[in-house]
Amino acid sequence: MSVSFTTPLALLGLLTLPVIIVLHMLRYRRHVFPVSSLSLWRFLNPQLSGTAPRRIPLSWLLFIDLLIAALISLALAGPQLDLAQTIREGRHLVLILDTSTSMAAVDERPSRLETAKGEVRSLVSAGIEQDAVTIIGFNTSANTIGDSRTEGPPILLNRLGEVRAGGAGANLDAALALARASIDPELPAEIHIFTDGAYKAPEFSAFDIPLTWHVYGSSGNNQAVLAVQAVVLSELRYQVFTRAANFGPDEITRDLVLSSDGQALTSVRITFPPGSSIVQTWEMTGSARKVSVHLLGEDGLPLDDAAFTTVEPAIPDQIASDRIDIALVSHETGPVLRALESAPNTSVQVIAPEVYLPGSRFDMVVFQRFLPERWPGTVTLVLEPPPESSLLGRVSAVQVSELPFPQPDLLLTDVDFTGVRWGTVWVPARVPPGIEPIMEAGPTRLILHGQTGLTELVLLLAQTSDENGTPTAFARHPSFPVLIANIVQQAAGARLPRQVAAGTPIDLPDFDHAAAVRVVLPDLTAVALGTDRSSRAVETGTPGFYDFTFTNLEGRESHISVGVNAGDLAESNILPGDWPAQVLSPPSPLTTTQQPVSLVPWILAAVGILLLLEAWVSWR
Amino acid sequence: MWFRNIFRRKPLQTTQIATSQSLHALALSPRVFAQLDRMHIRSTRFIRGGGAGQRSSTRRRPAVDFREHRKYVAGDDIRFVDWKASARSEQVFLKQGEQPQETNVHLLIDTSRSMAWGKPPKNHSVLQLAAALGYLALSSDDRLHVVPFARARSPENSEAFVFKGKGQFPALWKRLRSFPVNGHSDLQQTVQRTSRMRRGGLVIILSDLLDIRELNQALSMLPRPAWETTIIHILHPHELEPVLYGDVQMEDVETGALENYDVNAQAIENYNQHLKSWLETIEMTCVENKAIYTLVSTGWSLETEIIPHLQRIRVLEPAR
Repeated sequence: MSVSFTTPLALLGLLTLPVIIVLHMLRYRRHVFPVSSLSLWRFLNPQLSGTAPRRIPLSWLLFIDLLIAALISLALAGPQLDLAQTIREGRHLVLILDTSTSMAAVDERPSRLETAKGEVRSLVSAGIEQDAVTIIGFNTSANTIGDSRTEGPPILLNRLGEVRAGGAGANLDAALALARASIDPELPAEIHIFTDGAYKAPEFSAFDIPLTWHVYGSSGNNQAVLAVQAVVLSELRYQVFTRAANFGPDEITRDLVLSSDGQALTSVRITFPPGSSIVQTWEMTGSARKVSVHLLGEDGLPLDDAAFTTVEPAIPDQIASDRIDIALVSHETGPVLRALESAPNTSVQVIAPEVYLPGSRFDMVVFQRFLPERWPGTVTLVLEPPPESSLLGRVSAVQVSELPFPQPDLLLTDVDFTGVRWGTVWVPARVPPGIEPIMEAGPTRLILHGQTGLTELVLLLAQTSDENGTPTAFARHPSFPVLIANIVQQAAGARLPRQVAAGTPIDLPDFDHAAAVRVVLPDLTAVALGTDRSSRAVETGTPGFYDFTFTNLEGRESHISVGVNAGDLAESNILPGDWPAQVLSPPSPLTTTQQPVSLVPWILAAVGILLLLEAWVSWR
Repeated sequence: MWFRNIFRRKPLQTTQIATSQSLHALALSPRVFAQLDRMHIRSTRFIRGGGAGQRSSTRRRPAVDFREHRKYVAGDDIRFVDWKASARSEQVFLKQGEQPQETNVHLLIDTSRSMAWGKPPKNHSVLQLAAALGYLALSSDDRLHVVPFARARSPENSEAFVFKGKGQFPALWKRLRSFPVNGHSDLQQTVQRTSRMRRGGLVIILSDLLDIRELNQALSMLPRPAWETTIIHILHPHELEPVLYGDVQMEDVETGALENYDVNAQAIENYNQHLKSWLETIEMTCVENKAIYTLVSTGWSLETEIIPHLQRIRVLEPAR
């Protein structure tokens, strides 16, 4: 504990103390006492007489005046008492919350997720003043729920309250990667993971940030409908397959009910041995659009006691045609044509560049060694661009020998060009804005993909055939037709699945196919997505049917239902499996800091008291 | 505010100089008059007087009350011839008695400014004592000369006022009250003027004698037996025992001079020693000049202390 001053120069005010003493001496000198004759006093010791009193007139008033002047000088200097105070340093709390389906288990009331949210809420509230808090949710993927650095704690807690369990899978690695990316380097980080551990524990040996685990759940008594599938056998007959499983340690008997379009059709009583799964098949007459299977009774995870699917094809004509019309504008019909034709549901028309009309209506246009004056406004694949064009400018050829480095892109799904000898690669002088490389080899861009205007453009810059028409190593590689098929699939537009796992977003068709979308969720709330929709997918958290109504540009409507199922082999097994012992991070470091406490108010209060005292002494 | 106290002048805590308005309350009480009626101012017969009075004298005249004989000379009243003594001798003797006389009583009253110092001021006591002594003189058919002395601008300060007969007492009282108090003490000049009177008489000096430089010269102008001098030294109790303490600035009320002193216990002790020495010097001077000296404090009561004290030292004596 020590005392410091904010303005030490003000201590010069202490020089007023001698002035006050002099004033008091002057004041006392003014006291004149008349005597009958000074002759009576002239005998006094001459040393004791003089023109002025030499002794300081000690009095209470002088003492109080000196004290007041000293205290005021002291107060002006701004004294501070530096108190040693042990405080906890601010930290960055990253709270990773498992939002997978298994967190909806009710073995902990009200649910594992709600219990975890309660603890998250407590941590946020406890560190609301000094801590930065980031909340990350994860199931099949990871996303940031909120961050106190960008929004206030009330908003953070509101967003936490809106979190629902759903999603098959626990992508903890993605969540940890997101956590690491969001950590504030200025603050000590602390990561808390709130999960039920119903998945395989990842490897954390290389993770250098303290992890605190909050594991929920104890009971593994759960039965689930893992899968359901409806197949149309004939016009008035269809078959339903379903798989149900018992993840509990005991044998149990439950009723399995088949419903169609909201009506229960039949049921069967099934006895599940412990840790078993059973397949049930129904052949039903009549027609049905939506089929669901329910397990009656209660268990640890009610969310996965039902499965939903649609019977009829999910893609109506108004949204996506069954056949993809492709125009190949080229003089050559080598490996490219074969790859296009091998893609499913394609109809390829080869057009010589001389007769190509820019206004032709195709789902996809492939330009090989030719480019028109403007982009066609549809999915466009450019192969081996010509040496000179108005769209790409001058194109030069370089030899590439480095290994390719792919970027994450849907077009590269199941594509692996490792070991390919690229040979000659065309390098355009300019690339339209919005077109980004998705595969590079050193400084050379091999494949580019992006949207420019209305055109979704793919530039494939590697050579596919030599002057003799012989396919290059690149075109002969097994991944080449896969890449072409992926591009064709991109041109096919969106296809809604009949069923998805909970947590998997449902991709919406593009604007050309569905100008407006209306979704009725399982809880019967309706969401309208107009032309200004920012998201191209609908999140699926709650199991059940998601009923979509699409309106195309001509105003015609089509109705599609997608079943969202929570039952999953991993998620439905809510018993924490091979999970390591709970790991706790070291407590937050305590730091001893010097907390300055200003003494000015106390000094001013003392001055006030002294002034009152002086007034009393003066006027009494 | 706090600093105003530095410049605030505190009220004086010592004695104040009195004003003349308070003198009206100093009239002698009937009991003092009754007390005074039983005594008179003592004097010797060797003082030369004149006229008809009540004091004894060395002068003789043919009288029934026998004092001594003298030879008859032609023209003497034969009613005073002592026939029996003449029969035993061959000469005729005449019986002679003492001829009573009046005496000049000079009251020299110090009216310098220092006499107004103290609470009550010293001139209050002087006024009462002068009135009492004047009353005694007038009661004894003496000729009373009241002389205020102070070196002042006003001529009243040095003028002698003469009173004769008891009926003059109110005039005396009025005159005594009218004396202004100012200026310096001027004892020598006053005594010199008094000593010019041929007959001599009783001189009573009422003063604080703060300026004693001229005392010896003044007393030497009043030799015995023509003059009988009594000095009544009037001092305030605070002059006898000062109450000042600490760093003080003293102002001489006569001269206005200022001096700063640090009055402590040692200074007070020194003051007492010097006061004693000063008083002894005055008394010795009086003794050398055959004058009666006595010290009277203004704190004394006239009736119970001052008059008995004067009687004790034989300045006053019972009336015959």
